[in-house]
Amino acid sequence: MQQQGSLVCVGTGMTLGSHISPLSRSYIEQADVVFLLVADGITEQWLQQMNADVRSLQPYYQTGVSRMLSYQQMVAAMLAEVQLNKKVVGAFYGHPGVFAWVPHNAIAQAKAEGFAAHMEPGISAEDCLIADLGIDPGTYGCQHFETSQFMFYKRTIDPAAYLILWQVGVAGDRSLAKRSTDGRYRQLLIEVLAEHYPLSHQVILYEAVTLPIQQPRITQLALAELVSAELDPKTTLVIPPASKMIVNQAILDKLAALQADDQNNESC
Amino acid sequence: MNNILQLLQKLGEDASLRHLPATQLEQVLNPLDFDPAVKQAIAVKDNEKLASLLLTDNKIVCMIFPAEEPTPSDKPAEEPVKQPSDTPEPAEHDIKKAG
Repeated sequence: MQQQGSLVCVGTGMTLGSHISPLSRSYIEQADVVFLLVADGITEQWLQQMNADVRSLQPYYQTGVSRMLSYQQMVAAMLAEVQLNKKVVGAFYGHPGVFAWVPHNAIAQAKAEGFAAHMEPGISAEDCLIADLGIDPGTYGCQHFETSQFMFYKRTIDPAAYLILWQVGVAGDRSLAKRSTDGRYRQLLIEVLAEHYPLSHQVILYEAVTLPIQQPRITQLALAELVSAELDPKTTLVIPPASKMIVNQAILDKLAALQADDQNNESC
Repeated sequence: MNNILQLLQKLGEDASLRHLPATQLEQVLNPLDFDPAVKQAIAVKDNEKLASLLLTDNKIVCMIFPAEEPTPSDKPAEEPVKQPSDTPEPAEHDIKKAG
């Protein structure tokens, strides 16, 4: 039986005033309670004007404590209000479903308990990155990984495609308790990447705009320079293709044979 | 404060204002009855200064994605979940989410 409480996780987009959708704004305005997690304090204050009961999720983060515990507490806090049969909104900056464990798990748990729950998309950091850097992920293909996960597991990398590594500022942190990692960790990341890219390969550090008075950060540097680069935890590493796509001649030959068959059949 | 937030919203949502050069931005700001320091921070696009003038923490934690799924040792202790108002403020806020 469907319960009365509900949960909607909405994206507020990246840039204050520019990106929030009319629907996401309406959900925020009409909610009984709004839980908020955004990228800067000014945007937080802006969103707090939209509803009388807006609760920041910031206090759940505690220095030196695994963020995983914070994430689970955030989910529990939202679910507790849903269980009181309230209309609950989780407002997350960017897209609430992109590199965002909390909204996905909150929605899954609410559904499992019989509550209505869904997600409304937002303009993500990836969307801004594509626009600001003028790249099209369709041109050469594009792979995305969370940086630490990319380091922890052996992945198949295609250096003919774009490679985008998120949360590079905390590269290699298994504790989830660090607010940044230093050059020693980044050197290991470079070691992994050097299996596929020359150390002189030009890469890009990118940060999207959160306030409309800002400019995006777009810093080009050699891969080897990453070890000493200034990184903010919201910095993203973009690695352009380093090699050409290799033609799959065997498949092309088979496709040509199919096309010839089609033409023969049409002429019969 | 509300007026400043409304101005920032306007700068974000109005195509004619979104990418104004500093000189034209000053023309937008001059008639407004704001603290001159706030106007200056907006004019020179200094978001950290603006945040400090508005008494907001501009470096807040918002990373919400783990590299790995939680392990049993990550489970919360058997205690009630603290509400934000009960939870001690972090010593520092300095993490940004990626997505």
